[in-house]
Amino acid sequence: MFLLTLYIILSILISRLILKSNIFNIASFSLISYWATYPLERLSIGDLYQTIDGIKERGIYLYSIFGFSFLLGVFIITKINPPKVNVFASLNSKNNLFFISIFLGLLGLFCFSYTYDFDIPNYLDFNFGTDYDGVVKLSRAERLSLLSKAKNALPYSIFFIPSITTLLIAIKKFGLRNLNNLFLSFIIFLINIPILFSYIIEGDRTSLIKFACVVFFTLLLTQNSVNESNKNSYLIENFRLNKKILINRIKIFFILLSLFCFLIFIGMGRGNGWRHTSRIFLNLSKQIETKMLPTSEFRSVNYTIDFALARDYLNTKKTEKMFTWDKMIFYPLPTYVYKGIFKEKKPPNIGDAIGLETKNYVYGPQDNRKLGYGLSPIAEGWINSKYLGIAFIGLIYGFSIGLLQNFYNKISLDKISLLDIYFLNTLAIVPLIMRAGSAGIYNWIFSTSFVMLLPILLVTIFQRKTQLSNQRKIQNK
Amino acid sequence: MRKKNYLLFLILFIYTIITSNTFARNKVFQDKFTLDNELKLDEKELITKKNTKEWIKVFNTLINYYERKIIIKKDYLKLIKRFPSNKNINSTEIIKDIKKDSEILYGHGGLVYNVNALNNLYKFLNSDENFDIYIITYYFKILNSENSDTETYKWFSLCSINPNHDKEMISIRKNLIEVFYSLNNEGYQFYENSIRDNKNIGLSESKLDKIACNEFKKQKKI
Repeated sequence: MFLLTLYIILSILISRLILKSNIFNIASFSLISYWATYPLERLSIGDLYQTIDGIKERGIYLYSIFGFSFLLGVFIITKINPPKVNVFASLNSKNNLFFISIFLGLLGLFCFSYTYDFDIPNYLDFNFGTDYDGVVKLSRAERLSLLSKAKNALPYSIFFIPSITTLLIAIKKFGLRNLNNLFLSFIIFLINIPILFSYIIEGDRTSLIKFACVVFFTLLLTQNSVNESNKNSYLIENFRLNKKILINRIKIFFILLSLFCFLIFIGMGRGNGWRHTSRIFLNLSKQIETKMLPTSEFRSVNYTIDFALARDYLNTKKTEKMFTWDKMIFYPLPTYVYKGIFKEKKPPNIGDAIGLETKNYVYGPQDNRKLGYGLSPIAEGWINSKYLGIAFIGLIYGFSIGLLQNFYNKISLDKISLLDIYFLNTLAIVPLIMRAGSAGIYNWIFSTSFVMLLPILLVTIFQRKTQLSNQRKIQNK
Repeated sequence: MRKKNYLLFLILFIYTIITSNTFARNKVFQDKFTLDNELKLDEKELITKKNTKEWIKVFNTLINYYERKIIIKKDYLKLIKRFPSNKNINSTEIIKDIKKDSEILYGHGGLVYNVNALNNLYKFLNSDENFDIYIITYYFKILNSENSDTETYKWFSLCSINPNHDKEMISIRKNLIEVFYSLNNEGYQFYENSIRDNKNIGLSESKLDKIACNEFKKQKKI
């Protein structure tokens, strides 16, 4: 408790060093949530295995190593204050932004439709189809497992999010008063809406958080960057409370609280094709009775820390090959490409390996179920290099959040560049840093950045062609 | 004298036959207690290769569960040593649990014993069609028991209709009766009010088997 309080105090102090610290605050709040809930509850697997208290006591120290190195990383970046680089600034035009958005939106829609064989009834059956007893044919876990193995499953979120980011930048920058803009925005919105609906239908909280995050951070952008406007206001200044900021903070608190309740509602209601919604309050009261938090999010992510600590002493076969840091560079490669290059099956990431090892340990290797947990960076650091690994990943996360905050504060709608859109897409993952694992984060950044290269290439070709034809016209004149 | 002895022997012989006939007709058990006149058949199921395989599967799942449980408990002991804490579970309790689970798994009439017996039966069954062992369940009352008005007892046995199998049935019954008792949670609620739980009644299991099987054979013929 003392270490957590110390972390919160230091975190507030560091946030005051930054002109606008919303990204840092979200990341830090996420870390505090997982840290504070860590000793409160533990996951019971198959009523056979549960973490012992001795491990929990050790885990608390691991959290503090991670937390303080994270703060150190952010602090170093605020002191260095690296300059922002503008890459492909010529992107900053209405045509280019709308083109990129519509292009990515169409690609996303194609990938989404291809995944479900261009068949809406098939999609609905896949999600809601029930047997004669009214029980959904496929549970959420089974559905995800099938999708991860399906040959025609294509990742559509990596197109959807950049499409939304670019659309919002275009709307913010050029407005909707112009009929052309309004029409184009409406079309792009229509193209993207099936994917957004699919997130709601499937109760895909991760994707909804990513979407909400991108919308929030993009809509906050103004013509001038935070650094340019250079306005800094604090809740307490010269020992006086700033009422305007206080009201603003209270508003934000209630918005976050309602969002949190909404996510809990999704988590509890999405089972059995949303047929559990009538039992939400019953389930909620049951969880309160058993002294459990209303969401399993924290206990399952924190379980990965417990398992990482216990792993070396358990009588189970360890996964020989997984995406540890030394191999991580190849993680974003598609399964078939990886197999083609390395002539072997693509290994699982650390989170999947923990799920597999837990399943084998508790249910036996012959059991067919698939267990999966959000991977805590602390578990990842421990599996890679024990205490040093945790300090290292904490520092890297701190550097990354510090850099994102630093660059975000320098983004202005007037001078938007390709790198800025990359940063905005990356911000989608900020609230999820404590449950995504570095391989997952790297994959997200790499994929969302990579898919933007194709429309950028087309834009460059068009621009070159226009330039050449203009030059020819001038020469002819 | 010889004739007298012969006559006496004949009278004794006829008397034995008459009493055994009476016994068969009235179905009254000449033991410490007297059975109800009516045995009521509750369930019957033909043992086939298919259901034997299913039972083996049930036992294997249980064996797997207990094996995992023992491994996990043993690992707890290692973890407690490596990550000491006052709040940790007591190791003596864990050791007790391990002993208990080992007994369920490897003890006499334990899961491993049962699955081995079923595996032997599985090998013994040639085909589903020409083998005819039934598991049968009967309800009956014991007339001169203290609670005879209220308590109905349940009995189950392994019977064959084919008289040629009678000899084999003795050994099969001996080996498998425990197995089917263990399956109680997975298929048969034999323990419910079973006379096995009321050993003090003093009924002989082999005699009850005989009565139940004879009754079953008769019903089958009808």
